[in-house]
Amino acid sequence: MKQKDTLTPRQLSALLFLGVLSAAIRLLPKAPVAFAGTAAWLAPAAAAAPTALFTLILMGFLRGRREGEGLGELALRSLGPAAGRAVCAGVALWLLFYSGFTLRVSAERLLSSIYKSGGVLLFAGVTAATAAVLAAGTLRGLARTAEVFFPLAVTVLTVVLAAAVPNLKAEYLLPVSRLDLPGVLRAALPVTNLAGLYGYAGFLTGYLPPGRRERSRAVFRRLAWGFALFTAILFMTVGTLSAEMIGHIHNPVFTMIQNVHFYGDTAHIDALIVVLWVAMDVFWLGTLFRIQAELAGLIAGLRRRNRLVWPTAAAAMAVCLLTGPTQFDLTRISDRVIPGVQLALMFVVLPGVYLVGKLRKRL
Amino acid sequence: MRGRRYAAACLAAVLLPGLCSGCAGNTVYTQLRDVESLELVRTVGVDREEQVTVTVVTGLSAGGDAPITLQEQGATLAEAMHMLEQSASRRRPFYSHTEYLVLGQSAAEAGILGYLDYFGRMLEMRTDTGVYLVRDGDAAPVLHSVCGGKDGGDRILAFLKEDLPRTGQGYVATCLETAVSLERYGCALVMAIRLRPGEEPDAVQVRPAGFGVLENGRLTAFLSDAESRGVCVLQNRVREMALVTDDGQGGKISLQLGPVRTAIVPVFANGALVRLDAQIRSTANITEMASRRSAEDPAVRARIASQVEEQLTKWAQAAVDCAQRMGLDFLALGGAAARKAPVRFAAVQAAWPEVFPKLDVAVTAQVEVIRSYDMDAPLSGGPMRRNAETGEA
Amino acid sequence: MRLRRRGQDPQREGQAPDLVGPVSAAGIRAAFGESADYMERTLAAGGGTAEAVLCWLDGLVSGTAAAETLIRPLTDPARFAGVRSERAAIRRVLEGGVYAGTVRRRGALRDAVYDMLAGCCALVFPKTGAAVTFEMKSEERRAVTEPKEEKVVKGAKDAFAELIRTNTMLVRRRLADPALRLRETVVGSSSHTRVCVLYLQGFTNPELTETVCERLAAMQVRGLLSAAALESALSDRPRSPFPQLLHTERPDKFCQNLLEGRVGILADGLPMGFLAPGTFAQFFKMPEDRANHFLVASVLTLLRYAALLLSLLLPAFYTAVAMYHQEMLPTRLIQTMIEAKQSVPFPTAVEVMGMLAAFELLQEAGLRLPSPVGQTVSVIGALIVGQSAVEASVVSPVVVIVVALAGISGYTVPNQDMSGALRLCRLALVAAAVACGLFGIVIGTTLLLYHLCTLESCGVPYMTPFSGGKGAAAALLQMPPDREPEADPALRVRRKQP
Repeated sequence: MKQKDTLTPRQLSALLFLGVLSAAIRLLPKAPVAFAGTAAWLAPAAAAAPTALFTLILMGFLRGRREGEGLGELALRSLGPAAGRAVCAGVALWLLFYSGFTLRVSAERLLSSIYKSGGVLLFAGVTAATAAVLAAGTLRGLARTAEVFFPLAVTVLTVVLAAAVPNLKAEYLLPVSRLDLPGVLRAALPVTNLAGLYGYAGFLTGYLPPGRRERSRAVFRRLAWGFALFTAILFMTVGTLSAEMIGHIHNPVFTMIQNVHFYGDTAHIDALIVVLWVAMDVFWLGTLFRIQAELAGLIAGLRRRNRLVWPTAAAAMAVCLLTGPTQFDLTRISDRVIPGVQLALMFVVLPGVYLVGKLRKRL
Repeated sequence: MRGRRYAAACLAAVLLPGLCSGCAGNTVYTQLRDVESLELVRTVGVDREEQVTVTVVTGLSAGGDAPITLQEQGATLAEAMHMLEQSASRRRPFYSHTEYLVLGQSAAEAGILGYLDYFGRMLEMRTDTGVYLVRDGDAAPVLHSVCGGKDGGDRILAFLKEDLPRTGQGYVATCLETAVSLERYGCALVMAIRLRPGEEPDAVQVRPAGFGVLENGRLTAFLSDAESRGVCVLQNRVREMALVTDDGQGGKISLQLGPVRTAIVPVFANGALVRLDAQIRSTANITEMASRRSAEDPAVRARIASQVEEQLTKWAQAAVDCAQRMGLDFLALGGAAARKAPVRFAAVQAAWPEVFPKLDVAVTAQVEVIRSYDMDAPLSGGPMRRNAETGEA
Repeated sequence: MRLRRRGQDPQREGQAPDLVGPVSAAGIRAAFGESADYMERTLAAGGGTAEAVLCWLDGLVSGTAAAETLIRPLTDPARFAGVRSERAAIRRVLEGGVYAGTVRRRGALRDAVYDMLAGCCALVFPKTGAAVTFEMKSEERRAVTEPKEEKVVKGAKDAFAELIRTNTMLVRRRLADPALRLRETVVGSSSHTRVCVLYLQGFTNPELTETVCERLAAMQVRGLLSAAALESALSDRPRSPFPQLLHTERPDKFCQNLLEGRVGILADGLPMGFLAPGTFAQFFKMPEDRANHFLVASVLTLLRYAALLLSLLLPAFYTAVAMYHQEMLPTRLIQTMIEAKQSVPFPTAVEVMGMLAAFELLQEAGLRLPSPVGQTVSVIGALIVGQSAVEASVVSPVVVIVVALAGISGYTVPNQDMSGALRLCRLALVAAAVACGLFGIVIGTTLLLYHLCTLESCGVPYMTPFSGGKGAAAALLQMPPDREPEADPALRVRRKQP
């Protein structure tokens, strides 16, 4: 009873959600707090509208897909072989850079929070190798692993956030008024950016079984849960550290967790949460490697695309070692480069390809 | 073939640390330290004259060995800490369980922002480490004589931290709270302690000595006992407090106050902030009555309440006057007013440092005596006599 | 000096018997060589009308039964009145002339020989070149006894035995359903072990049944004498240390799994039944879960999973925390540990690995020794080794507690194969913790989880229902009887049970 390599919508969702959580620790809460200060915890609510718009565009685009097709194939159909390949190549190169950056940030996070004076090569290398192992096999193996790991990660996170409640201070969360609205709306941008990472699932929809389509209601429900989690993270971090201090701290979430108490004794469990995020990074990197392999295989016309995962991982390692030699470079890339490109992909490239496909009546 | 590749990848992932032991000069093994090689530092003291002096004390060991005190000097705190690590011969100082940071007066007057910055960057030390300030002295003697004593000084500081909210004399802020206050209001309060001679020869005791006021990170003044109590009242830091009043006939009544809650209400007129109302509320329980009058008499309770209200108002007013005199909102009244009326307060927020010293702050208190526990009437010392005319006892 | 019987052909002694051709007494004699248990007797069957040779293997066949049920009626002239030829005699025998239940006519030598090896007598009629075989198995067998490994309080007390027919009888008694099918095959070129595949026709997924049968048919072994060979053949990934096939010595558990849609396998000579597919969650279920109240069973199941995590992660977690992440320890605990480790000469890594090794040695020693002695040695060894090691400051007490707790937690896993796999993983995770602290543990755990998620058992994902299923609660909790699913949803059964 050998099965085809397929995955369920729920598994795909779990896989991408872990990726979003992986990136969340870099963006939350510093980016929203920089715009909205104390009211940053309202940013996810403000991001609901643009995220919903992006999701509707994406779902509309994917509605036109045939069996075995993902966003890559749709792009080829919409734009034609040459232009489609060019767009796919651009996205693949972007993902290569992004995965190298993610590797670097993951290693840096370990070095600046637990393993001081350690080496980037070790942590990035092991993380990349592990992600490549997960991605080079069947996609359903990676997705099943994510599906099992996802509730564990969310449970641990929820317990830790709940344990941080006694450290909350109302004066750090208030006041919030209509005067904070402009800041909150600006703070919605990084959250929208973050939620948009979920859209990379579109590249893997070709692995959904025939006849299984992701229902909009299910997607929105999952996004709502995601926003609830972002809100909780923002609320707890701002409420325990204050907006002013978050601007000074490099990893505010881990600093918040550092002061969590269990039964009167400070647990100092931030190390556990830091390495939990390493696992999320592994899943996210595995997904990115796999998507790059799919795109590269699509461009080159290869059938067994998972063979490209290891070369992709090696290329990402090279990007990692060349990117951002210092913590400050990484911050600059995170603040300026990544958000711009990501938002452009979400609100310019994707709708553009969709529109062209509709106009050319290819969808 | 697939299985072999997979096994090789797993093996590589696990063995990579060893293979990378020489790469880039740093490895994970810089973090490797066996637990018995650690010296748990419980209290850190910082003094400053020409150089920065760091004194660290371990707590009592599990086997009851006396605490160990280490001291080093350096041009900066970072240099002194580094020297400390190098000079520790037996074990490596470990700061993850440090509970208190004690700053000498001289170090505080020179500015504490650098120290907070250092400890904030330090991976080991937590941001919820309590901060103490030594009034009229240095941190080193406190650590040597009190914390390094055979009873384990970190217990004394821990006891103080637990006890202060019960007496209403103060509270111990953490490094994080201090830093937030400095960032937000430009000033902060740090609990001060003072060394006093003890009962036995060569013994010293630590006593609370009010709050030290930091302005832009530097110590500029100390608050008196009354002002410090007023700070605690206004900042809702009093969990319980013992007070003594009288019954107007020479009898003494002891009270246990419940949590003291203060609401700061901004009063606006024509869009402008005209006044802040500080409304203090609390409850009182009678713990001892050496009086012939009974607490069942409303007049007695009213008198008790008015005395407590007067005392609380006096303390709060003293704290407000001091803050306005210094021009520093270390009471965070502006923040409290902003929470109450954020939109209207926003108009005055930018000019708050100028507005605050001249603003009218009206302090009122309301206390209610709610119980006298298991004694309804106090002992009279004799048969009760009734007034023949009125029938009163 | 080799013993050689008169007439023994030394050249032929080195060659495998040739079983080609029609059945004959000489052929059968040659097939068994000069085996001491080969018996034959020439009879005047049918009252002297037909000469026949009765052949059997002593021990496999009951001599008394053969005499009563075969020889007596065969030599009774009244029974064979009117029989004039061997063919007629054969016909009379097949029509009930003798008292045997299972009677088969055999023309080929191979068939007759293998029937004899299965416990039959062969009555060879030389002139017709045919034989009739009668099932006449001896009563020499182990009785149905209580289960030794899977003891329960509120359940049946019988267990599978070595004879396949005894085992199928135990199953049939519990599942009186005509839909229960037994498909038998023979595995092993030398052992010719009978293997029976059991399933419920019209209920069990036929793809599953066919997969199991195909894998059995593809087995190329000389002898099926141990469970390992069968498990290896039926597993999707035999190299994985994790068991992919359920096995049980309890017929009630076997039948319960058949009712859930699994395929059962019974092998002659193995006192256990196998069930496919075996998913991870199944290895944490006990037969007693259904006998207890569902809340009690749920708590016990959750306890088993908690024990799984403790067993797998506690030593590694302790190692990581003691070597790399001491800030995670509460102050009092770390003070106690520092104090306790002052006089211990070994680093934490050596302590933990050493204690794990000692624990494994004690466990293995306890298994090899006879039961009464083994238990005592295990207990005394653990006490003496643990206590003495602590008093001599060779190890710290915390390490002893950690390793003991992990070991005891491992014993709560109901399945020994799963427990063994977890022990391997525990050692690997400790090594990862020594190398990299918590980072190593997380990487190791992720890889382990990935391995489990990529495993399949006869096409069913191993981590069902945690992944790919909707019934994760059914794995962690015991449902009330009225809400329990009829069958495992992952098995894609064909119809609801009537």
